[in-house]
Amino acid sequence: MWQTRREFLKTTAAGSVTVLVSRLMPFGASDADAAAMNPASAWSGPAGEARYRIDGLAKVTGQKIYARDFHPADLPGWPTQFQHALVLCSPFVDHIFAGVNLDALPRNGRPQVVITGDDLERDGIGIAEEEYPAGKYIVKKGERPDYFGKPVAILLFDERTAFEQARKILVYDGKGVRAGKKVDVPPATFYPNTSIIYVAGKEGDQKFAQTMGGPVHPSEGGVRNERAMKYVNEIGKLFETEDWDVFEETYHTQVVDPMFMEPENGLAWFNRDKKTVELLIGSQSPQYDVQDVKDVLEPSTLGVEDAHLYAAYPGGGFGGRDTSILCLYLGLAAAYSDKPIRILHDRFQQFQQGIKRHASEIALKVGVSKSGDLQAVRNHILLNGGGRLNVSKYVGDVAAIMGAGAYRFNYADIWSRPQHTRTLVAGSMRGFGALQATFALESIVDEIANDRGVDAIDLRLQNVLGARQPIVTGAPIAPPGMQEMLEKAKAHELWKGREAAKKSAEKADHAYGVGFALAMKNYGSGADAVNAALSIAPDGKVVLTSSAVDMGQGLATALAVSTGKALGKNADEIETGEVRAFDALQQVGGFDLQPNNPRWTPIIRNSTKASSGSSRWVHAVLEASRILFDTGILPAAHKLWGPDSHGLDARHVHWVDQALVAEGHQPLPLAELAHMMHDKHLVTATMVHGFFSAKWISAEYTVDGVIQRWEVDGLAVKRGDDEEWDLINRRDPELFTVQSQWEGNGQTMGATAALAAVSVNRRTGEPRVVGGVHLAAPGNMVVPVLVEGQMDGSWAMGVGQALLEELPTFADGASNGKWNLNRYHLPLADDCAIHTVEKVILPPESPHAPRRGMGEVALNCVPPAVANAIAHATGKRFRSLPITPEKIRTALELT
Amino acid sequence: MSKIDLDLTINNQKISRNDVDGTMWLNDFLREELRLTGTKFCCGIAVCRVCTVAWQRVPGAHMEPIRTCATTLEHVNGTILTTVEGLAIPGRLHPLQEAFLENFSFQCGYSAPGFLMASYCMLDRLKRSPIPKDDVDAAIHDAVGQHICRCTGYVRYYKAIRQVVLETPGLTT
Repeated sequence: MWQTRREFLKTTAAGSVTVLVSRLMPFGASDADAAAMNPASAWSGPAGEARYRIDGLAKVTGQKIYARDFHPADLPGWPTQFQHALVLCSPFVDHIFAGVNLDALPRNGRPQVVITGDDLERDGIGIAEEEYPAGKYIVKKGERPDYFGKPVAILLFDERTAFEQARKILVYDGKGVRAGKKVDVPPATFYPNTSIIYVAGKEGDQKFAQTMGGPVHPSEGGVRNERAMKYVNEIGKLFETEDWDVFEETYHTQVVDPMFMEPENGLAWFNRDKKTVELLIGSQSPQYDVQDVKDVLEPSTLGVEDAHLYAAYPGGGFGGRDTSILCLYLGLAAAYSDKPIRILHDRFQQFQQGIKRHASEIALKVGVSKSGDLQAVRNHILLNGGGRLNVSKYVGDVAAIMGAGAYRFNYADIWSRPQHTRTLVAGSMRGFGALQATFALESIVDEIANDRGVDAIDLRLQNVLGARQPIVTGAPIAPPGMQEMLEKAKAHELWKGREAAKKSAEKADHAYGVGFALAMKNYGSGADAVNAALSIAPDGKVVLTSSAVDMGQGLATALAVSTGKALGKNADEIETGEVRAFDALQQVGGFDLQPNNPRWTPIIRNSTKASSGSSRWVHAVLEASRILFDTGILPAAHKLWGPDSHGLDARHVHWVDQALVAEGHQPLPLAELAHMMHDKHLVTATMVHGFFSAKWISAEYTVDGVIQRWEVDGLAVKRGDDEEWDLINRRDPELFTVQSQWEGNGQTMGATAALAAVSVNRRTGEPRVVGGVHLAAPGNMVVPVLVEGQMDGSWAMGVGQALLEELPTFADGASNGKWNLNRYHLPLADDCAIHTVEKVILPPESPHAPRRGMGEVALNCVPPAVANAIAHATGKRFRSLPITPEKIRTALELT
Repeated sequence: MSKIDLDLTINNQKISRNDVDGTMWLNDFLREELRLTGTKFCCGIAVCRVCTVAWQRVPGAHMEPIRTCATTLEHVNGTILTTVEGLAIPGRLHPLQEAFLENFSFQCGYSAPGFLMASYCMLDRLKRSPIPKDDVDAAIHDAVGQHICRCTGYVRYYKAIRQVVLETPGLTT
């Protein structure tokens, strides 16, 4: 489970939240043409299927859907004149900030407004330094920037040409920030670490595990912690005393940029009449972003009482738009301007200011018995959390949970420790700590196999966890399919023929090798709050609303087809990123159990994260649809079919061509049912909230005489044409506290595997992926082609992580404003061997198999598979990513 | 700053402006002045190619993909441009757009206009000089192999473009 402190704070204050997030209405001259070309519902296939993405038409015709496409003139009520905001950042941390160097600009090209740290302090902004997001948003003159890339001023320009000129001179040419006297930089500090201690009993039971009482901190006091420390010491001695082969290595992974294609940007306007800061942004977490702006500005002396956010489609996300700081600077800039403002990062600025993946240093020690059984693992994971408090603690949690990989160990001593450093901000990114841990573990397993002269997949088969076996936390949640993927990979021609292919390349210009890796990762965060609202109009039109955001992964489409099973058709329209509508549930959040409060839920709202779309957000739509069927559609059918149909329930009916069919009765078109539902004041809309941590909160509800148990913890309905929601109190709920997650550890797991074939130029050392097999066990898929798309994208991102992408950590890194795609190399199609990578998707293990999120899970197997392939090709082991030609040349002593 | 009198044809519409800054990037002109925001901006240094549009010197000339983030107005003055907004004919999507939809080629969609317009130029080239079917993959690589997409891994872009090339009469021999 990872749950940010701010999520906790927000949920406890939810009753008074007055922020809102609205979805943009369509803009643009092409809308009418597009609608004529292709009606809005053309995307939809038969119930439960999509012909294409629900957002596809807008994207393929170039309609305005991304934040960058909008001007203030596009927004209702906004003034058309606006200012361009330049967030100026520090390229240094070892000098005092001596002020902004406006002298570098021509006199007629200077900003109209300069917002400084002194302004913020004077106006009461950013005082709560320990809260999230960390305070002191702009460095004051005379103080030391505490991390590379920290903003030192916001400059507002009336003219775009002046803004562009200033950006060039102040950012790219590096003339904007005056450095004062040199000062010492204090050493990095640490965020709380995560320890996972696991000791198996002799009978395969557990002597000590996280699930047996919760997390531990061995270095701290208390009976349980002291017991954990005892086991830490015992495990340390076992490496010396047991008759094991012990392998000990250190691995590194690099700083990586999410590199979503649309650089961050947005609009903001302080509407002083309404005392509201209005914002437009593309974000994975619009609900957090707007809350942050409100939280930061409301206590100030500037007169801000509220915030409102228009959520645009993000042009990519990968975690990097979850709790990004950009929205806060939009709000700050707007608060100091009498016009709307626009922040329009270019790619240099995005590299300079955007969230990065945590770099890691992983010290790994594994003991293996003479018979090849993995016995003990000690894994110390150090993560570079950068300079601003973000989600590092939770990245550390996930890294630790994956610290023993997908294998059975009798002993595990794992700790992960995010560091608070002076580097760029590190936060959420696809893979989320597990990528780093998986690279290290899958590399050392390969090393062990090589050392012992055994097949690397055989070694994994000997040690891999079976379905529902306990992972290193003790929770019995290992996913199914891992053994099957190993067997399929082992039987694949690429693997079977690897030695012969390598041998046949011995005299060629390029060495050849094949590597394998297996990855297990959580999907969902461990404590997930979701929602959905569904309505049916008298003509049968179905409209779906969700707080989830589609950043490209296809979630809007997956949600829209998920009404199909219960309603016989896909949703006609979907609104994503909507928050305020769900205030109708009047929920109260907080981690402490409130058993007698029917409005209580542990968390009210989450961002869209952790590959939770298909498993969690879809669940809310399925339940909202099921409830609408049980309480609206079926009663309407009973009325239309007459008294002899009253014994019919969901088991006796089904949909055919959007008509409800029951034996012995006339088929009823959905539109006819919908008309009856409105006419007879039956339920025509449902709104649900669900909470999942290892299981869904469920409760019994009574709606118009229908008594059912549904897996939701909040429910409201509308009847007929009612405007107001009717809140339905739950009964007999199966509540749990977030602490009780340790029973099942809150998590759900998925797994993927990869075979990668590489060639390595014997002269230049250049490695290239030339083929592969990508295996996944996604369970039941909502839209299979979207799952395949996630696998394709993950493969490419994995290749980039393994071979191409890297940002220097400190002064030469992206904070210097000189980084762009000419230096930061993303994989192109050729790099990914797109014509020679095969996808193998295992069928669901049962009709009731879960829908496993694949966005992150599919990524983590790729980098170690590529690294293991290079080791096979070259005979040299590379333990630091990316594996560059230079590193290979050095290792192979090529001149 | 050099002022020019601008005379462009964009998506079959004449665009004439006096005293325009000739050094303005075409991307800025399209997005900020004309509000044709279908053409995207990403790297700004002509690497990623999301900003690609189709360019013709004169009517009937070969269509060439150009990167609008690194092309100034003075360089395209007097010529003909097609952007993603001009790709469909009234009432019907372009076959490339249809194929991108049917193949779920894009995810976030931000790179899609660049892929579309580069492929559009390739189709124009193949209409004039058809190629053997065996050369199609290489031609696609030549057309979009340098385009960057972070979401998709490129697989379904290539699949859709290949489908259009093979299904459009007269492009292959």
